[in-house]
Amino acid sequence: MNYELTSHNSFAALLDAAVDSIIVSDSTGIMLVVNPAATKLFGYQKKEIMGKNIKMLMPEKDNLHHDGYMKNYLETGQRKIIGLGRETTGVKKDHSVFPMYLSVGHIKNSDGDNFVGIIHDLTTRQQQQRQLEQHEIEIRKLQEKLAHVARISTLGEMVTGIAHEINQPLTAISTYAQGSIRMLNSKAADTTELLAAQQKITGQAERAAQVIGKIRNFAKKTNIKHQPQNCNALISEVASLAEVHAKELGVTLQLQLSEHPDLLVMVDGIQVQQVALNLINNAIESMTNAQDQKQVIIRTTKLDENTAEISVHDNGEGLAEALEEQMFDAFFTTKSAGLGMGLAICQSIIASHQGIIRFRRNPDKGCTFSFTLPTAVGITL
Amino acid sequence: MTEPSVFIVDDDKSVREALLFLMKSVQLNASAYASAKEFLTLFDPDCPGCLVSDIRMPGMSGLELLQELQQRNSQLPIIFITGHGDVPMAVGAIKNGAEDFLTKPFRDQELLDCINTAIDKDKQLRSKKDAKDAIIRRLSSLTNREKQVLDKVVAGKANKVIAADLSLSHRTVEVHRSHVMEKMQARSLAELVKLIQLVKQEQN
Ligand SMILES: Nc1ncnc2c1ncn2[C@@H]1O[C@H](COP(=O)(O)OP(=O)(O)O)[C@@H](O)[C@H]1O
Ligand SMILES: [Mg+2]
Repeated sequence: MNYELTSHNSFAALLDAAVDSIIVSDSTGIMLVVNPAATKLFGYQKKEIMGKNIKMLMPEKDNLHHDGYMKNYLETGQRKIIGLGRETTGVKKDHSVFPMYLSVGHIKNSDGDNFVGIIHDLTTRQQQQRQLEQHEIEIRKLQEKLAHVARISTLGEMVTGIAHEINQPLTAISTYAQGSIRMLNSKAADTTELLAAQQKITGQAERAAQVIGKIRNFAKKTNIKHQPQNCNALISEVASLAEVHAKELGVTLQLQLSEHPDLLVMVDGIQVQQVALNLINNAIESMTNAQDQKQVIIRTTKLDENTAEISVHDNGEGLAEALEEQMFDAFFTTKSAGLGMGLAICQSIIASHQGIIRFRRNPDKGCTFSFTLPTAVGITL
Repeated sequence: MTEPSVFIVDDDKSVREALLFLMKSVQLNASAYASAKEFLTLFDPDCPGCLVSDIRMPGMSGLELLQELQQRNSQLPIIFITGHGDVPMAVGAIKNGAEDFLTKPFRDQELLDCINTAIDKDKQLRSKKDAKDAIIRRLSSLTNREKQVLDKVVAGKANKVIAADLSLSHRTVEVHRSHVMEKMQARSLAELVKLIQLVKQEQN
């Protein structure tokens, strides 16, 4: 060992005690000093690597460039890694590659240029990061699943209304068809009228298909994807689905859409519709026992450049003040057949959209739920 | 007399129009209304026929329509057509005097059978009512004295007893009695009793 600093006892002690690996090499990459942490990390005996080229500790892609880096640095002073630090990878004796943080210092002395590399092993940190990422993916998947189950359960609660909504066109179709047969069998068959009946049948079949399409769309499994969506279109579409439930309970829905026809929000469309449907259904259900006009007002508003708001206003029974705080809790319900998951899911969906969901009592009767969504500023569909 | 007509009440335009078409295919008179209210404003109690109504409608329901018609002393038979979910409601409606109910979608023959039965029933009810009205009209043409005599005659009392009861002469009772028979258009005592019973039955 001819390196002059090694004679320094305290320096040797420091090398031995260091937790991070320390390697000193000359300008051609020949290793002059390797501390115990380094031999342990790379899995070599000290004698196996002393005097060898440092490239043996690098993956091939780096090791090809190594000589070039060194030469380039020494000639131009241009820094890629020397004097700086960066995350890179190392290769162990068993050829396994591991993540590390490498900082390299330049030591100028009488013999010429030497380099000291300090290596911090990142294996554990990377594993933790991977685990964290894995957990996040799992949580997202669970949220997707939960939201999906909740959508199905919402549709389940609407099943009577949905059945009715499909039964109506079916009734019209079968009545027209049976009437047509009677007309054709009688002497008084009138082609114009029969033709009109066939057209009605086609229209009613289309109507039934649309109901089914809307439900199928709402019930399908999706991967959450935030993208620019037309706010008014999203809300009108889901309102037409809610209409089914409203009709069943004798409630009318009134849509007050923003005067910005292309108000775009950056959202997962189905999830936002799920939130709106939950709030509308709750509003409808709050009026089961109401006597006077049962009306739900659904409004879309552009609050500012970055924020859109959707609100659902009812004139129902409201909720006892003492219970208001629990409303958003999972499984809190005051309905005999309620699940109590609606508002809890709404809150988690809106939070994942960086929005806020609010509740307020109306001055006269019932309450208003509203939530904000980020607009897709600067993006045009 | 006006032809019987089928009155259709359903908030769903397509169902309404389809029913009109079916009625046309069997040459039945029909008219359709989008709500119970609309039907009631145009309702003419003298128009014979029957009502085919949805139960669940915004505003006034089919059941409320039934009650309103009963309140107005209408006997127009009502057939309810309903979605499956409303069956218990429809059973309740029958108990409250509805004629029949069918679940949507229905077989045309079933509906037409119900309609024909209902129209026949309406016809019977109307002729019964006409007859009754005629008897009431005849009754109202009697003088007070004649009414008193009538009551006793129908109660089966002999002229002699009636004369004593009313402190009239036997002869006077005989005259009143013959006027009663004439005005009531009854040829025998038995017929007179039947007529009076017809009116009394309804009044109870
Ligand atoms: N518009 C509303 N008016 C009055 N009470 C409401 C309204 N929306 C929600 N609530 C109350 O909050 C509770 C929880 O709602 P939610 O989470 O949707 O579950 P669920 O509808 O299954 O009961 C309801 O049971 C009801 O008591
Ligand atoms: Mg709910």
